[in-house]
Amino acid sequence: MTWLTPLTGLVVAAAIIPPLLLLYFLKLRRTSRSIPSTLLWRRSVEDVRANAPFQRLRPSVLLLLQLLILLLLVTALAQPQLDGTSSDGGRTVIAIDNSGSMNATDDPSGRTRLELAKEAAVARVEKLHGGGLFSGGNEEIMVVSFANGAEIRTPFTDSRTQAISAIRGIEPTDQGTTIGEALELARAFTLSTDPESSGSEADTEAPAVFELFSDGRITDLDAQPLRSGESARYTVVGSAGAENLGIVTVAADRPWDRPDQIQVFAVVANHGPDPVPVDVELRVGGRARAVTPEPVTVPAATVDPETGRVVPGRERVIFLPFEQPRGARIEVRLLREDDLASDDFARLVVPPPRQLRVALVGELAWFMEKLLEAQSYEELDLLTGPQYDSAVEAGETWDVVVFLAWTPERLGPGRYLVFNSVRGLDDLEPFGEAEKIFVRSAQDEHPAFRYVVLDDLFIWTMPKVVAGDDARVLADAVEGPLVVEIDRGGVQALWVAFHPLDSTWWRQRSFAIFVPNAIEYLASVGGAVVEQGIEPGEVISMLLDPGVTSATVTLPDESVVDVPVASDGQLVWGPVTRAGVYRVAWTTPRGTESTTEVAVNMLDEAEGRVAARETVEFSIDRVEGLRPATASRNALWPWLLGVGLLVLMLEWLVYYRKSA
Amino acid sequence: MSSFSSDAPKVPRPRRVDDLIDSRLMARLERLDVVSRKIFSGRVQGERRSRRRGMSVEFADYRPYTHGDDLRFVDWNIYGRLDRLFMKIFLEEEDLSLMIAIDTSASMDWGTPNKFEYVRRLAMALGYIGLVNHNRVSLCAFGEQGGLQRLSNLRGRRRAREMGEWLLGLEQGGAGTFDDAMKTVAHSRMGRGVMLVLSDFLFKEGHEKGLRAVAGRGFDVFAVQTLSPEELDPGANGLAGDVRLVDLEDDDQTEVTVSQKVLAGYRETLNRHCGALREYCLRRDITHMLVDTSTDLEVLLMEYFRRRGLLR
Repeated sequence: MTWLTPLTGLVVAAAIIPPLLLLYFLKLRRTSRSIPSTLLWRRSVEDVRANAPFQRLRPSVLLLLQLLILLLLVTALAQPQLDGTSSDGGRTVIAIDNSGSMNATDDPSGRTRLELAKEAAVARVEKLHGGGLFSGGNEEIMVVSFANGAEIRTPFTDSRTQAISAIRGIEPTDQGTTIGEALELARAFTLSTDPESSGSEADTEAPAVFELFSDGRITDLDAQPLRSGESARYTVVGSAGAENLGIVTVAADRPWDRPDQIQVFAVVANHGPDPVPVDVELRVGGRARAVTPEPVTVPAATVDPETGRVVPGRERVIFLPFEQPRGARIEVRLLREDDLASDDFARLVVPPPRQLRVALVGELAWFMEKLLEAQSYEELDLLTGPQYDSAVEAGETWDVVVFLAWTPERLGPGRYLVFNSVRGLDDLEPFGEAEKIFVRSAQDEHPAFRYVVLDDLFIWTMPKVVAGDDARVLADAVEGPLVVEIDRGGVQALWVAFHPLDSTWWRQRSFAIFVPNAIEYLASVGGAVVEQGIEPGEVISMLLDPGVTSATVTLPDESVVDVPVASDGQLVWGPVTRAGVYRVAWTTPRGTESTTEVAVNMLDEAEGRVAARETVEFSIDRVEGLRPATASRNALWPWLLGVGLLVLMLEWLVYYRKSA
Repeated sequence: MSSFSSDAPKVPRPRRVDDLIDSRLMARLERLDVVSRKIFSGRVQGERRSRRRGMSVEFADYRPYTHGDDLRFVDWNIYGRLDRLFMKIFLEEEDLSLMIAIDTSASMDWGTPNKFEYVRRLAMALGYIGLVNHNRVSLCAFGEQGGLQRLSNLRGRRRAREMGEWLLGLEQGGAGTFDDAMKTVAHSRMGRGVMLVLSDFLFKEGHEKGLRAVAGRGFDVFAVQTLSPEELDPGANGLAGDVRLVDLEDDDQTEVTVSQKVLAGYRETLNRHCGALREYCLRRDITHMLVDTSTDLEVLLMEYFRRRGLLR
């Protein structure tokens, strides 16, 4: 038995019970009775009247019943609970996982894990706060939601209502799950700083309990050890037997020789212990275009004997190319219901085929000319430096400009592939020359390096640079960056440090693959060629027409958001939370309406694995999962009030009978 | 309110003479007569032996004839034997005066059964006995301030209806003093005889002066103290809790928290009060009778009053 608000009960008892007894002492109210004569009574009660107004308190059924009612009321106000956790005035961080896997509906009630987690968290808050009508405890609660990142829903508060409304306000996302940021945020708030000795050792961490409401599928949990004084409590949401089949990769491509056709690929992953057959449907523009002729059997997940990790079974699905000269919204859908619906479909927005306008500027080397001419660009301009400057002044634009050993003094917004020139690139700081260079590492997963092998590349000489904050090194050597991606303002560029002729690269096949890859990648970054799908948690970033000041983003749930556009036409909005197609609409300075669509797909394999974990391990701390407790159903005050009501009726009956 | 408990049965007020006395009771009462422990001189010849010699059939004595005596009472047999005239002297038989004084004060209109109704029926029964036995029956009602209602000198059973109607017409209420009423009765020329005082004797000014007035005038007084069950045992008849007791006559108020101790104190006070009345009556040669209104009227008349010598 736990008393949640004993002080309230005692105060009320002290306030109302003595007055009741006093009323009975004073006998303020008497029933009038007529009698023939007071002659005999006067003599009988003389001794009693001598003690007036206080009279001896004598047993009375009414008094006993009224005292019983008051005691029941006071007991109800003290809010006893049969199995409650009383507030100990500590601090609690309630962290609720709102990642993609929390949208699984493996609960028999059909509700999502996030809804169950929120309900369990609300029940927990009510328990910590007493679960009663008054905020009896001084428990401080902080609410954090986490997926790809973390968001503080409410800092430490002793208001039960605020904590509960913060929990209820948590929205589902289709993002991945990391907890590091949530822990860091919580620790930042638990740090108590003494203002008089700020920054010194006086900063102390108040003890906090980290209450986790999740399915346990958290990717970075291993790297998050609990510090001393920290304790964790894990409430498992979801079942360990939940099964899911999800699309983990989707791609659409127009064959280079048949740009009117689209070919679609997808990879389906199975996280369950048994092989699962599934039909996969391809929809174009909302209508079914094709279904796999026979169910695709996705193999069962296996356990890697070396690492002990579960490797999901994967199956690749390829749809035959189909004619689609216009743009299309493509959707790949699994025709099978499972516990998580968010990854059963993936969408792509494929724009109509468009030939690029490309310019080669600077040194017009023959191998580069040959390479670019071999690509079927709509237009290929070969310009010297001065010609380029005058053409830019005349308002000429290209989708991608390739600079070879020359760059203008200032690069305007645009997409550039730059070889062996640092002029106009503020993000690169040259500091000398290097010779005889081998490639140390390259980011093979970058689209520009697809099928590009740099193992045999040897460079005789190149400038050494230091890359700035807006630059990302894609390939480097011991002497410094070799290939850098620059994304600053409206400038998107791939910078290659060396001249191809100063290396062995120009005559290697990887060079002939890299240059078209890079041009295609640069063109796609701003939306010139293909809208590639992004994943939840990423931002929508695109270059709109110069002069556009605002745009609207229509979300998958048809809600519309107004987004301001930077002066250089850069639109950045996000991070997106839900999978689906986002439509961006804007009005050009010339008054024409333009729209484009961005597909957001939940392709995270980790999120697709929905089987809940019964234990979580914060590095070395193993925390056993608890099942969600129901709300404070064990509160006794409603029963006490009910009994009080019955006694009140009995008291009324007794009073009626006595006064009648 | 006529008692402590509101759910006490309401007895309808008598509206006809038959409601006061029924024929069966009348038939039983005809065998009774009022007994007086004293011999009073009546006004007219009656059925009761008088101190005076008179004209009854009951022989008393002889005396020599003197001039002027009624020749009808000369004993001619003795004149034949002795040749002297002697007069036969017979006992005189006179009527008895029966006075019934009824308390109509507000305190009487209370109790279950109602004391006033009980007293009216008792007065009717006693009056009827008096009328049947050719007694001179007078009734008076006291209670109203300074007022005394009277019905005097009824004789013979034919006057029973008149007496009944008078009783039905009595108004109760007021708080007239018992002393004044009794003095008025004592000084009236209604003749001495048996006097029945039907009252609860709850007089705040006391009952001594009033009783002394009538006892001193030669009445053979019977003080019939009529109390209801609620007065005799209030605890057993619904009085409980915290109450404010209001006097029906003068609105005097007393706050009482009814407890066993208070109830015991009340009973003791009541016994003391009744004992004082009884003792006073004994000293004044007055017969005191305590009557509970829950007692059946027939039982009261046929058994209790006969046992106490009021009736025979």
